[in-house]
Amino acid sequence: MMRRIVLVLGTALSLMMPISTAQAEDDPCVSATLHEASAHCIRSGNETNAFIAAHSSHTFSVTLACATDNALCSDTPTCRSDGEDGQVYNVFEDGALLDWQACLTKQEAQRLGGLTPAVVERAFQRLAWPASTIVVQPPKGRTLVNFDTNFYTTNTHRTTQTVTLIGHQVTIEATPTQYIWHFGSGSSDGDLATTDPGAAYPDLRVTYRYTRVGDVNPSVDTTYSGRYRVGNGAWQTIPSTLTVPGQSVDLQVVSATPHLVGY
Amino acid sequence: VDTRRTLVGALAAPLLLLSACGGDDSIADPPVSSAPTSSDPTSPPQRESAEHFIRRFYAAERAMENSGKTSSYMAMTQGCSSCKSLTKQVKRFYRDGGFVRWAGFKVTSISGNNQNKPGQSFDVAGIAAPTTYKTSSGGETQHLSGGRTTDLVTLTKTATSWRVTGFAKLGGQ
Repeated sequence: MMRRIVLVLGTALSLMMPISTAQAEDDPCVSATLHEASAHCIRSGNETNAFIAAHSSHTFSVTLACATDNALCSDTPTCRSDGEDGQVYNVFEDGALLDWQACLTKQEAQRLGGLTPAVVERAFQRLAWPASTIVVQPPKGRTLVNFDTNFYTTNTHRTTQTVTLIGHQVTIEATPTQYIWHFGSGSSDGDLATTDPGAAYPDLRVTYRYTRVGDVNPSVDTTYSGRYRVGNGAWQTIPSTLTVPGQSVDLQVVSATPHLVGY
Repeated sequence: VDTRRTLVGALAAPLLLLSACGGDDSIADPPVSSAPTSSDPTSPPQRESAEHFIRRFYAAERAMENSGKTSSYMAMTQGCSSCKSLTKQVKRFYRDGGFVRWAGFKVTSISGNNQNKPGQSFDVAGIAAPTTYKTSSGGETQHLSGGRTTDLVTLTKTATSWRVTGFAKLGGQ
């Protein structure tokens, strides 16, 4: 009825598949061997469409079935479905992963909830983007009480990542658009949101004056705005933003004792 | 459907499409390949073709299921989850006093089906003998009726042979 290929697909799901001959006659996934009963069944596009038509009151979506069980695949498995090149997809019914997979062409995948802005948006949220490192001046982990301590980060550039989503090469770009500074003074009241990444001394663009001595752990979170394009297509904005927490640093706030060094 | 299958076959000329005809339902098929092969599918030739390896794999699967001894079979796999799942199951059957009786899988055709990466993944069509098994000494005897089926077998190449990395049943076969 069709031809298609595959990859490494066994998961815990396969362990749960019962060995039974009492399956419906129209089920294309009846196992003929013990091994088949332990393995995934892969349906063609036509079979997948037939299943969906028979369950029309439900919502279906698909994601690429990678060895990592992740929709973001850089090395996507391919297959043949009804004579055409396709890829293997996990199939979800009302959000629940089904115990069979589908070999679908790009067109079939798109029809079945394939690459949509929402898919890209989820990818944007799931990908790892750089966390900002906070730089403190004065350096060496010490600053003075009642003194303008300078903060900045060098994470100011856009970052791009290319992933395969539903069989498409998608470039996602994240640009830092806001910084949330946590000065570590023990209260979020002291937090500051800026579009400015700050700058090194003497440009005191993001500063904070500690009023008490002690140990603090300042950090800066980075909010990214995103856009994407499919292949070499036009860039499209991703509506949501993503905030990546920054790693805090140790900072000791000390008082200065005046010493007469000359008269 | 048959027309489409024929068309697929015609378009897939560069692909492997090997057939064996007739005979009983045992798995003792001779290897069919232009590559140097052994006439015995249970032992590897010096440089083994994918087709020969696949036939040997099915023969090993038959032996494994009928004996409960899984090491030789597993040595032919690499990261194949369903293979691991199968061997765990078979081991458990035998440990608990059960058994498997299976006359094997008669391979009727092997078709490389990925034009971009030829030789790595294969539709393996054949006729599976019925399986009789008991999961434990006190368990009921159970059956799988077998019949015509097609599996998707994915391989990775080694220096002289192959390993099975993936196995799936193709629907509608």
